[in-house]
Amino acid sequence: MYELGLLPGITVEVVKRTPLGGPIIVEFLTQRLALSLKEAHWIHVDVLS
Amino acid sequence: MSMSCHDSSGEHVLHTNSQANPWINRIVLVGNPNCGKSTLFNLITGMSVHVGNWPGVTVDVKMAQWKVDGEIWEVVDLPGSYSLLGKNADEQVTSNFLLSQEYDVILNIVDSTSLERSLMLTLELLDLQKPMVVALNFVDELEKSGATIDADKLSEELGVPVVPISALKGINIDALKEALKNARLPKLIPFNRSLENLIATLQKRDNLGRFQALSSIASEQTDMDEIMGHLDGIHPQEHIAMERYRKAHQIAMGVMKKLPEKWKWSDMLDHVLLHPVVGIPTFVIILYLLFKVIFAVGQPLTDLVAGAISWISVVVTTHLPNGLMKDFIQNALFGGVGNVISFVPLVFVMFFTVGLLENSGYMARASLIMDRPLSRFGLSGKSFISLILGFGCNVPAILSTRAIDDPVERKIASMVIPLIPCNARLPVLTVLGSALFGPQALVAVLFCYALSVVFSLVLAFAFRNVAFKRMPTFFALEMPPYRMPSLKMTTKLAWFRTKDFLHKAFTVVLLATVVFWALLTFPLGADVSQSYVARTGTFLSRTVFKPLGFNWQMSSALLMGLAAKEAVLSSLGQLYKASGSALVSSLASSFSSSSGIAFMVFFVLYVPCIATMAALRKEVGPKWTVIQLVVQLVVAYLVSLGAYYLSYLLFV
Ligand SMILES: Nc1nc2c(ncn2[C@@H]2O[C@H](COP(=O)(O)OP(=O)(O)OP(=O)(O)O)[C@@H](O)[C@H]2O)c(=O)[nH]1
Ligand SMILES: [Mg+2]
Repeated sequence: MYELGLLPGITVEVVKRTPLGGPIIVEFLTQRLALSLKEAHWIHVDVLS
Repeated sequence: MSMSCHDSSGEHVLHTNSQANPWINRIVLVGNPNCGKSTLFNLITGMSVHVGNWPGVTVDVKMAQWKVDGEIWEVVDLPGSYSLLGKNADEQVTSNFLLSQEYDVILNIVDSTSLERSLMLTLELLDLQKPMVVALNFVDELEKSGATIDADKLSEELGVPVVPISALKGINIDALKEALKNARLPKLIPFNRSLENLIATLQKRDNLGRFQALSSIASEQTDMDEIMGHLDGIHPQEHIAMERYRKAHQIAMGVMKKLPEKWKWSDMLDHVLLHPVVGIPTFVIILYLLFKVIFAVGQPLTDLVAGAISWISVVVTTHLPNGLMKDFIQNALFGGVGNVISFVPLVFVMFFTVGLLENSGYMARASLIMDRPLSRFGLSGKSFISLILGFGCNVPAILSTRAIDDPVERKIASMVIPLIPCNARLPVLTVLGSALFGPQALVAVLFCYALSVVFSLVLAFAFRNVAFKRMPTFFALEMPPYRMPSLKMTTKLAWFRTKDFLHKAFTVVLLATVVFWALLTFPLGADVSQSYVARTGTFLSRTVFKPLGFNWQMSSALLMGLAAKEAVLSSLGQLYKASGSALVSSLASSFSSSSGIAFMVFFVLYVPCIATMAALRKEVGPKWTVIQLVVQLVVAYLVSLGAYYLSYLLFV
């Protein structure tokens, strides 16, 4: 994940949820990444706590 | 640009007049996935490697020549990479190349519409301490979005030439050439004091280069206590990444005038195409239209080519005396290979339309929609494109699984693709369907398609849960913005994939048809019913195929199908000595409806053609290929047996 630039401390914004509970699209470093809900959840908690 | 040989900041100007003293032999293109490396590569070398609006398109190393003012530079296209320390297969190809091969200049391609993120890799490349040039690609899009980047200032920050270009539009390529001739060693951009101390210590102690020292810190190869002492207990790889991010952020903020708005249009489209309610029917409609267009355009073309080939076959063979030679040309060459070639238009149209969807950015969305449903079967949305390609031809579909980064998923996807009915299976199913159900043929064909899709998913589930008891790795896919697909690029992409199909026609299929032709023709002078194939077919029809009610013609035709699926039709024709509607009626009268249905089911599910087996062996190795073939054969047999008894109950 670090390689993708997804690092602790950076701001990640959820821009889009996808149908059927699919991955969500997040934006950071002016870039967009689709992440499965499980992963995204984990990241979220990690970042905000 | 500095002309001195050595200035105070430690920069070196390697050569200022390269005309007199050519020093570049090899340039490597390095950058994030989907930043346009292959587009630039094709533009400057005139090659046509695979390009797509999808990360992970290039999966191995491609080289070609670039002729610049009388010099010849070798250019290397590498797979996209986020980091030289990355763990996925593509990234390792790139870092292995950079660390172990000879080259003179790194040409770092940067997607200027996501500068900050791209700079993370740029900063890492600088630590290789090789002459480097940065190309700011996508300037056309950047300008459209109203943003600008101060290239001179960026060049100053990085200590290497920076040239804004557009690989797609061919903008500023001459400036890029000049910059490459003036490539120089980058200046050193220091990390924080404690990390720098650690690097220096390691460099001295183990006699390492800067990059090697860094990667040994990141991979924790060195004494952990020592490292942790220096880095306040933060995981070293994370520490390094944080440092780079801070730097990248700082540089990007300093050189960008306004942030790009490349998502404005995409967001509007996504609002509909990824809408929780509207998104699903749209997805279904798009897939339906996809197949509709493929057959509406591809089928007539294929009929045309098939007609032309049989016309040529007649012209060529009428003047030949009857005998072995004529039979060989007629049946093995025109009947076998000619038949495969007649599918080229259909396959090309298929790959072209799928390519349009890929390059527009929609395929990435489709794989998000399909992610959850596919995950129930042990796959992820990333397998979706490969599965769809399988409907065209299994061979390129299996090769395309290389873009899937989870190795277990890649294996599973490759192993279920042979169950996806390729274009070659369609005409056989159509003829069988008409023989059995007359005007209701289409329903029977669609049923067979549905059956094979269902069983490919069942098999995926079984492979994931029985053979590979490992959870899928996390799903992360970089989202490309929607783009107008370029016709030229899409044509190239479709041609690239069709070439796999053609290649198959002239190698494996040619060989197999010759072998099977011989088995059908010898012993010489005897009737086909006495040929080696027919004898084997007869044997099979009296043993394993007896419960299914397959006669010797059907069993022999299935054997011939190993060369190529479409060969089942031509060999049925030969064995029944009939073709067209005459074949349909001889088929109809020669088997019961139960055995006919069982035959259709067996045909659509049983092992793939030899070319697909070869592709599979290349991707998953001999062991898994054998397992796959055995499993698929057993499944086909059992399902077909079930269909036999079920239809017996229903129809008799
Ligand atoms: N507008 C615009 N589009 C571009 C430019 N360069 C590349 N593209 C498009 O960007 C997409 C990705 O291009 P590729 O050349 O396949 O990217 P790559 O870096 O080789 O990608 P990987 O092989 O996956 O690492 C394609 O759809 C190209 O048409 C550019 O300068 N301007
Ligand atoms: Mg590429």
